[in-house]
Parts: sequence; C-alpha cells; structure tokens
Amino acid sequence: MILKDYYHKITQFHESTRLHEFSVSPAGNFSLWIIVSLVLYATEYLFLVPLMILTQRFPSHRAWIMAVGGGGLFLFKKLNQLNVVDPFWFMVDGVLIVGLLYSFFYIAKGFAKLPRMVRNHPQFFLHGLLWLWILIVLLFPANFRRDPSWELAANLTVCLVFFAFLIWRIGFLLYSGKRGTIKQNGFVDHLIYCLPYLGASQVPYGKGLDYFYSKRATERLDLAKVQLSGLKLLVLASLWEVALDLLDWAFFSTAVDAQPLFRLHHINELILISTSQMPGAITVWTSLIVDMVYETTQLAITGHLIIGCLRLFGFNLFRNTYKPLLSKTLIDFWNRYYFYFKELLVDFFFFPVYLSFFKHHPKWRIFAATMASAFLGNFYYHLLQNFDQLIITGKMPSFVKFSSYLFYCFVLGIAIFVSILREQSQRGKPAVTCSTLVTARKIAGVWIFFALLRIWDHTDSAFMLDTRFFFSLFGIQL
Amino acid sequence: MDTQSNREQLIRFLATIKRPDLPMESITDDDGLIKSGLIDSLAMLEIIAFLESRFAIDFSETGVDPVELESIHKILDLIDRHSK
Repeated sequence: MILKDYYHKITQFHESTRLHEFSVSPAGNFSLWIIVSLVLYATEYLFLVPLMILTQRFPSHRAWIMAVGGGGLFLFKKLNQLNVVDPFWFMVDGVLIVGLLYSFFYIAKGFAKLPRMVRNHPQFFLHGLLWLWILIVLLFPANFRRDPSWELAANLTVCLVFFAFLIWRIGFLLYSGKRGTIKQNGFVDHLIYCLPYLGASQVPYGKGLDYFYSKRATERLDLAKVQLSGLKLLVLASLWEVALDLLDWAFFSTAVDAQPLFRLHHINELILISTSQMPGAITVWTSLIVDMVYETTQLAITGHLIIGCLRLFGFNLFRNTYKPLLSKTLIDFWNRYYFYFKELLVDFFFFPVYLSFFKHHPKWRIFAATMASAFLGNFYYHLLQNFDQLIITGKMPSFVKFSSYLFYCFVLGIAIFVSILREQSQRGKPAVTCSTLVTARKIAGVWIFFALLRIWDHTDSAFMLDTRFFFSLFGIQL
Repeated sequence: MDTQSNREQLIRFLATIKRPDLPMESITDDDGLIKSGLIDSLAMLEIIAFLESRFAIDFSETGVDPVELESIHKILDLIDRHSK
C-alpha cells in the first residue's frame, strides 16, 4: 500500500498543491525552466523554451509570441527541408503562405456572407481549391523542379505543398467561421495552430482555436499546474526514448559489433524476407507484436513532446497518446492511440456524415459515419500526404502502396464499427469486474488485431506481398 | 420549456447512458461528462441523437462542437440558444 502511495505521488507530481505554489515562486519557476531545458536539450524543441518563458511573463501577448516567434522558426525549418536557398524566394514564399492563411481567415470572418453552397459545404470548397491547384501544378512541364528559369512555377509548387500541409488547420479555421467564434479573436491568434511548428505532420495537435482557447490556463496557479503536467509529459517522452533504445538494443540492433539478444524484425523487413529464409513462427509473431509496441512508443514520444510543449505554453490539451496498450476494445485503442488524428477524422468526416444521413436508422447512421471517417477519410488523408511527396519529389506514389492502405482502412472501418456496436450494447448494463485473466485476454486481442492490421500499413507496403505474408502466418502459401 | 424542465429531461436521459457504477449525483452541472468518467466518448453520439429528436436541434447547419457538449451546463446553454 505504501509503495502504491509513493508510486501515485511520483507519477501524479503535477497534482501536488505544494508543488504548484513552489512553481510560482521565483526559485520554483527558475527550477522549472532549468528542468524543462535539460529535458528538451537533445530535441528540436529546445528553441521553444525562451518563447515559453516569454508567454508566461507576458500572457496577454501569448498569441503574438507563439505565432510570430514559432511561425518564423517553422517557416525557416520547413523551407530548409525543401532546399530553397534564395532569400528573395524565401521571403516570397513566407509572404504567400501567410497571405494564403490570411485569405482564409478573411473568408471565414465573412462566413455569413459567403454563397450558400460554400456555407453549407466549406470543406468541399477548401479541398476543391486545393485539387484545382494540384491540377494546375501537374500541368507544368515535368522538369520544372530542376530548371532554374522556372522559379515562379517551383515556388508556386512550394506554396502548394504548404497549402496541402496546412489544409486541415485551415479546415478548423473555416469551422470557426461557421460557428461564428472567429470574430472573438484576431488573425494572429489563429496562427498558433495554423503554423504548426510543433507538429511534424498534417495533423493539427490541439485542433482549432476554439478547442485551444477552451483549454487555456488563465490564473497563475492553474498555469503552474498545466506547466507541471507538461513537464510530466516531457519526462515521460524521455523515459519512452530509453525504452525504445532498450528495444533496439535487445531486438533490432543491426550494428555489426552489437548483436541483439534475440533478433526480431520490423514489419517492413519481415515482408521482404523470402519464404525459404523466413524465421520460425515464434520469431515472426513476436516481431509483429514487438514492432507494434515499438511504433506505438514512437508515436507516444512525438505526441508527449508536442503536447508537453503546448502545456508549457499554458494550454491544457489532452494527450495525443494515452495508454493505448492497455485498451480492452478496438474502439478504445483507436481513441487512445493517436487522439488528434482520430479527432481530425471525427470532425471532418464522422460528424458531417453522422449529422446528414440515416437520422432514423441508428446502426446505418453509425456505419456510414464510421466508414466515412476510419475508411474513406483516413485513406484520403494519406492520399493527400503522398501528394505532398509527389509535388516535392516529382515521383508518383505507386498504386500498389495505395491499394494496401485502402485495404487497411477498410478493415479498420469495419472493425471500429463492430467495436462501437459492442460497446453500445453493453451500455446501461451493470458493470462486470473482469478477472485479471479476462482483462489480459481482451488486451491481447487488441494487440493481435492491430499488430496484424499493420501488415498492410508500413513503409514498403504492396498489397499482394502483404496479403501473401498474412496468409503465410497461418501456414497458407499463396 | 424552461431550463429546469430541460435539465430534468437531460438528466433522465444521461441516466440511461451513463456508466452504471457512477451515480448521477457524483457530478455537478459544470463537470466534464467524459472527463468525470460518467459517460464515454461514444455516448456523445447518443446525446446528439437525443438533442436532435427531443429539442429539434439541427446540427447539420452548425456542425458539432464537442466543447458545447462537455457538461450539463453547456448542453443546457446549447438548448437555450436553439430554442430562442
């Protein structure tokens, strides 16, 4: 019992009132930022610490500090990735991107005056514009990326990459316009989430401004509590980094002088091993499970770092990953594994379909909405992500990869639908306390399902190859 | 209908979808319904269906803002706004 109390005190240190009070004192605050800097030292987020301190010192200017400071750094990092070196075009691109965001802010602000069709379907309008731009860029001669005389075309393409990257954030901007909440804040406030210097992917961590501001700490003690919970996430991210290193050392090391304790394979390696050289069943199944745990841990690290930083800025946002490996149902795993991606699919696909179709047929209603989000929305999101690559590299993503992911999304959609129905059928019934064995069996079922599903979702996906591997797990050779 | 009557209807409905081991009295009107553990996120769909059928709220016009459905208080505000 005493051990349990100590464990609770340590893991829930951010709930301690004494620590909140210490954290607002000069010594406590100084210590907080020193610890944050040390934890973030080896990460790309270290440069955010001065901005965090500034936002704490000048809370009324939080939006400006985050938007201007963070936005500038984001543009610098992203443009560097794209090998754009000309300072003139660097400036032009920056202005074009901010101009693009401002145009959508302006459109969203005058939402009530927009044509009825756009008001009813703002996301269709947004994505229609993106695809129009993509079509125009695809009409450019194939060699424009290497031809220095085609600077305008190349930079229009860079802006399109940003547009595709920012499209879901702009989608939230339009939602703010639709709800009428956009008038409560200025353009700069929206840059907090529109310029995603804290997110490496198209998924907006923290969703739109309405959500961001609903989670904003206003009182100093509240802020201290939120900051400490942010620090906790950063510490957790560091611990998971160590866990990942241990997994690498024990199972995945490829260094010549450091053989792993027990050789396992990541999923993309397994698929490519020929049948004659395939390791035994135990190794293969263990590889599938451990690789799923490995990938979940990687996602948790990224999410903890981003949400941890946002909490240090004073926004008490939900974690992106919350103990998914303890989920007892598929829908629970899906909710806890990648919260903000799930929210993106819910906001842009699930609810629009749920609110528009089959209102008098509850099961069909949920089926249509689930398939629209987990299947079609999920697939569309990744399609756009790959177009981003197409525009940068000029290489058309192969249909083979898409077909594998299409299958992945379809199975996921069906599985989530079934899981939702099962959950709903349990609602209202007296809670049954499961034995440890039953709980373990449920968790194992979730692990196995997602470990198997990942066969169709990895860097080297090819539908036939993936499917053949899946059947080979059960001794069936196709 | 007045707010008190709306509140009673809402509470009666929430009692049908809440976790059986948590009594309705365990939360206040300002507590987060999901955060407090009274309902899970899927129950939100049933709240939406309830609001559509009982109070004729058409979410297809405005979309769903989960923040507006976070607590009993916020749901009652939403009902009030739509009934005006």
